[in-house]
Amino acid sequence: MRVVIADDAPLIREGVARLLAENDVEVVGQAGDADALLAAVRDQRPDVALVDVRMPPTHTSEGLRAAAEIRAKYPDTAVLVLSQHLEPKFAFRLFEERPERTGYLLKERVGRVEQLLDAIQRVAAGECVVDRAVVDELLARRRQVDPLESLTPREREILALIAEGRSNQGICQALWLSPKTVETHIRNAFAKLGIREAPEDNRRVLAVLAYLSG
Amino acid sequence: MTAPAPHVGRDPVLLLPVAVAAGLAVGALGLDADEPGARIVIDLALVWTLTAAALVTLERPRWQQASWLVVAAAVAVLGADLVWATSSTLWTTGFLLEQVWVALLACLVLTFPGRRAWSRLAQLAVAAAFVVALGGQALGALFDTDTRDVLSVSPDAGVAHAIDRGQELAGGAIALLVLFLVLRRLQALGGAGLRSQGPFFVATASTIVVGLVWLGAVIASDSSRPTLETLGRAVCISLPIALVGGVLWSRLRRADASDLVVELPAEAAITLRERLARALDDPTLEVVYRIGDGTYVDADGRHVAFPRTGDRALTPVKVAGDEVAVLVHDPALLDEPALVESVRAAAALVLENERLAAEVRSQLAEVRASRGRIVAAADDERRRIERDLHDGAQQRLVSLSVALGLEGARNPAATSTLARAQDEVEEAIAELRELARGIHPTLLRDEGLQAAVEALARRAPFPVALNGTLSERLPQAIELAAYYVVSEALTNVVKHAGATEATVVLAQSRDALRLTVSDDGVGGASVVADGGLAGLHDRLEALGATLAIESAAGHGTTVHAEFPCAS
Repeated sequence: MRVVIADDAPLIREGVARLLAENDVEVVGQAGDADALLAAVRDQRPDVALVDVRMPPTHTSEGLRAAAEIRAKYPDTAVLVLSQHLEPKFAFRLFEERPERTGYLLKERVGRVEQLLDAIQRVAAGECVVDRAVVDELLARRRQVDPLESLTPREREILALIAEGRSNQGICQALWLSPKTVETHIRNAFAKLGIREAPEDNRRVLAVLAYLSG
Repeated sequence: MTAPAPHVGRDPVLLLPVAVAAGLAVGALGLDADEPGARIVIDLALVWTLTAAALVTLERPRWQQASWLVVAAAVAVLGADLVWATSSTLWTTGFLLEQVWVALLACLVLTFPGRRAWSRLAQLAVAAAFVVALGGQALGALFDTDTRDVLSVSPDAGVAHAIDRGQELAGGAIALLVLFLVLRRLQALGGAGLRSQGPFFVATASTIVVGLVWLGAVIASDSSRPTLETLGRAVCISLPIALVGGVLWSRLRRADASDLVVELPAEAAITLRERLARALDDPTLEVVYRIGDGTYVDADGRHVAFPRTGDRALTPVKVAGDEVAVLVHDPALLDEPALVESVRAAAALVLENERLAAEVRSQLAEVRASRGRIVAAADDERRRIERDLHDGAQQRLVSLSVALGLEGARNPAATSTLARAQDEVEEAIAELRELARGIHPTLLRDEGLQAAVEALARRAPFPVALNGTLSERLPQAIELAAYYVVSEALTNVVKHAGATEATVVLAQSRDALRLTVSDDGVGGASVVADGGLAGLHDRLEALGATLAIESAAGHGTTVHAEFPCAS
């Protein structure tokens, strides 16, 4: 696994690089801004680019723009955006063009090495990764008529995992359930909510996120 | 009342007996020469009406040159009639002058009422009129067969006739051009200008039309048609009559105007400017007020560039020696100084009041602008703090989190302690994020009001329906203010309303953003008014926005806000 890290804070950049190196992830480049990041991706063609949202010069959403550019120019490089903002809208912006090989993770997850590695591996494998806190925020919304209340706790749990971008296999592993059981739960939950089954996992993530934020 | 014209040495009334005497002398020549009586009478009538009209129009300071052109035309008519004389010298002089009065009238028309021709084209027409009038006659004199012609070098009836025709054709072309220019001028006139100059231009246009018919008849029948020529001169008498008519019409209007001025305070529904414009009959009239700092503002207190250049006339209005206002008007009003003076005198005090009001409005605008600057400065500061939180404290905490992660990998013995520390750090980061979002919403800046309000609705601890979509981004200050209104209104619902649900409506029209936040709670306006909404007062005032709260007990609370915005 080859990774490029972009963050304007050298301390965080170095720390994450060491953390990843200790877990057999090869850090092939570090960048302090979007231009350096794009250059590193062009030269190294890493499997994954870890991108901070706020970078010079404006410290607003440079990272999101750089992520979109990387996904458009280098389809083989996955992008995991690390964001200070718990705003589902920013995640949608990131996924709307190409949900595959893309992830939106809260910045503080970098200290949880197992969560960071999991996300890196999943985006590298082609999945779409959504931070659990973003999904929780969408699930927590109060509705006047809430179809989510018709879900069983198990179905609700599975729906959240789908929204996080998990594949059926990933859900099986997370919940210790058989593929058949998981498929049944998904079918039932989608039928209750009126969500159409998407032909492909990453489209399914978008459909569920759109449902939850609608 | 009127300034004496600088070049009138004696009383111009003396012109009248001179004109009468000269007319009678020339008339005697005509009788001697057996000219038709009608022709003699018409010519004398033309000369005397021209002279009389000049005496009336001389009262107007700007009409001096025009008046003297009228006198000159009268003299030229008499000069042309010298062809009735038996003396060769007089006849030849008369022959040469035959058309000059027409050229002088053309000059009068195309410079009227000022001193210079209206345009290059008008200048050209005047020059052509004189060339055709004088040159044509001089050329004709070389070939004329009359025995009294002292200039004749080779009398030839055919050549003389051809020169006549050429002169008539050229004259016709010039007349058409003048007609065109006059009609265009007439179209552009309005108010006072139309009143004083309109009659003369109408008379000119009809005279030219009659003249063209006469020319057509002459050319078609190939004869001189003396009866028609006499008729044409009779029509020319309408010109001096119309000149005087314009002056009289304006005077009549002056009586009306003083009535209007007397009524000034009575009609409150229309603005002072409109009333003055009506009194002076100048729809283009503007009033600017001089305020304390020596600058000028309009009635709404907006600063205006002043003094203006261009073809506007300025009349200052003073109260107790201090200029309070300036009337910016059609220069045609300068022809009626008495009218302007009476209006100015009557309106001075009202203008002074209006000036004070305009000054207050100007100061209000100043205060509002300054409030806007203060709010904007505060917003900048909040943005800076938000940025510092993210890029300072939050980054350090993330850094700490990474360090804890590294330590955990190396020191399995301390795992549980480190995990607790990690939890604390994450909690701190989350709290910091909430704090930063409250100080300045990044989502609003990046994604706009719609997305930010959606997020507010989503985070509310009860269902919030959001209706309406915004098609475009609005100015930053409006987006922020609208966001804070929704945020504060929802916070109030949480705190006081005891509501189970709320609705937010966003409606964007061409000129305003309207938003409504309503709940199904207990109502009670004072509760809401005490809330954070009151703190938004300055922000809303700076934008000229309005906030209304409806909160009858038992009927829930509705907050309406409206932000004017030109898009």
